[in-house]
Amino acid sequence: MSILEIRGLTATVDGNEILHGIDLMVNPGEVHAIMGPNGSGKSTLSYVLSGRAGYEITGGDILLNGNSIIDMEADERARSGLFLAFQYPVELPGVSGMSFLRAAINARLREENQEEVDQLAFVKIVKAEAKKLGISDEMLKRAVNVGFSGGEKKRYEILQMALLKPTMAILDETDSGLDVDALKIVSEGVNLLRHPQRSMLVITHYQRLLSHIIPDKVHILSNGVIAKSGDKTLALEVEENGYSGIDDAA
Amino acid sequence: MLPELSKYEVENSWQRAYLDSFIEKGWPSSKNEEWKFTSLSDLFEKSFVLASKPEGDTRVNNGITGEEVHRIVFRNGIFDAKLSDDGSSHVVVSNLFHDDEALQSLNQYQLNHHPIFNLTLGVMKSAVLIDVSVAPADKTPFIELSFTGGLFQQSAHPVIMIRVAEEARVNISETHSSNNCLSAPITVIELANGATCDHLKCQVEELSCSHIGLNLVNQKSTSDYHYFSLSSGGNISRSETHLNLDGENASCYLSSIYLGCKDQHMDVTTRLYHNVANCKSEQIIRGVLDDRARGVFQGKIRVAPNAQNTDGQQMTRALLLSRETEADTKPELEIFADDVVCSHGATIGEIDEHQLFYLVSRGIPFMKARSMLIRAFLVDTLSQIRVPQLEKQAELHLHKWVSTSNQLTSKTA
Repeated sequence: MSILEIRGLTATVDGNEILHGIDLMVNPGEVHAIMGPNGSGKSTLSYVLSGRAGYEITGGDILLNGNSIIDMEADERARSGLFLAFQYPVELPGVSGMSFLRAAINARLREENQEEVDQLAFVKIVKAEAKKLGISDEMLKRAVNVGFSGGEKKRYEILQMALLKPTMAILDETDSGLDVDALKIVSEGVNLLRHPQRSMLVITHYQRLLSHIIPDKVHILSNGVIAKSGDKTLALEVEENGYSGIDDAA
Repeated sequence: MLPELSKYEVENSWQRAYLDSFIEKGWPSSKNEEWKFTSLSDLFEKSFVLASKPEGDTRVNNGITGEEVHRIVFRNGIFDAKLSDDGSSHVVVSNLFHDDEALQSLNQYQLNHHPIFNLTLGVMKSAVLIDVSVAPADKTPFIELSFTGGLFQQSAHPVIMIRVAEEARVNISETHSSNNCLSAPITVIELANGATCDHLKCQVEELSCSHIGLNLVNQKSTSDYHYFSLSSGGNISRSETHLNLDGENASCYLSSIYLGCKDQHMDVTTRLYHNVANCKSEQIIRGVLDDRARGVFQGKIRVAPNAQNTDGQQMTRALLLSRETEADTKPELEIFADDVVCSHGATIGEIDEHQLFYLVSRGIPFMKARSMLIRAFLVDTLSQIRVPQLEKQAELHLHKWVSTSNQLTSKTA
């Protein structure tokens, strides 16, 4: 059974149809890349999958681990194992990072009828994962994303992913705003989380990220449909010929 | 409406003038500029009598513990000696009616026009005077003022004055949870040179009650007053602070949060008088409004002609959780000196949809996410409370309100 299956998905934003019928199947452990030019619907797809208000599904279905999630609220989808790493992580002044992470983890554990993690054990787990991503204790003490650099925000997204252990992770332009070194740290963090039971959808403009996170499949999203699918060489083709070349081919 | 006040038998003859003044002017309506946003016309409609003895629930707030705690209890608006602690060598409790100096200083607040000031001083049955003197550094006295009990058909008019001697310190925790249809308390705090006072007022009365409270403060040179108020109770609630900076290099910090839901009307009014040079004042007001609640902030800063080098800051923010709420703000800066730094600002906003989505996208349930953002909106005011026990108290009431507000919202969602 595939981890994520999208069937004929159409969706509107403010009454305008942005996604015109998307079909996609991601099997366990696979990493799929979604590439596409500006305005092709990449971010819309990530928000529709994660259940953001204002993104209305008008047709088709989304199955996560075989179950339809389109009637679920965003928080339920997350607790069912979906994770979205934001293109622009949101600053939450006044919300302490540790209480945020703890609330998220405990919500997930409750869903699975597991006992909530106690404060001491929790701090230990967070610090261990943070260390792998080069996140300092001082950064963990701050309010969520407040005063973080672009690179720190992206690393913090990957930290959340490591802690929440999703079965399906969507990385929305995780490479945007990152310098070469930061890109390397973030990619290594993502690669450490590759797992036979965890799939990923990596949304990106550029091939650059995909030379660090090697995808099993690459899809080109254009005008709200998947115009072309292929293996990792498709990404190199885009790099060489641009999206217009792909559109012609499709 | 109060029955036959003209025939009311006052406790002391001097009270008659206050009462007559109230009778003459009556309840304020919205035509009165000071009461523009908060009309007391509803109180005309209600029929109630003046409370005359301690009655109702005897449960008192036991939030603060420790050997330095002095509990003073007003039940039904009347001082209840049985439930109150005796004083100590640093905290002397007496009858305000027997202290001429204290009575005289009540007049200095120039509130002759104020209807509630006049009414409460006119009809009060008992008034407590507390004198705080210098205690050892690690034994700062805690005064716990509990306004509790009460009969709903009666109105409560408690009066308390706390005089803090030169260089003395005191912490005050004041909680209003009585069940009177009208509570109109007056708290007077007098800080002598170099005195320090940290004061928490929590107004958490039932939603059927009305609360018009006056907090009158007088500060002498280099004194320091740190005030935090939280109001979540009452159908009409108004917390007024009138503060005189009367000695140079005195400073005050006033922070108020109001939390309104259903049809509550929450008013925070401050009157700050910079009467001399080199004083500093800072005011931070935060309001959270849900359902059809209405919030009002009126803040006056008056800088006298000779009060040079004044620093007066005022900032108010309201968070509206529903489309049917309303927040009104009226800053009034009257500056007669020329070397002054004064500012005021006001913002009104809703819960940020991006922030909310970020939280729920991590699996945090909607209501929990909402609570986290409400708390985040208020947390920097709470963190300014300098005394940990007072912060804990305020936190407790805030927590209670957020969970109640959540229950209401999930019912209607």
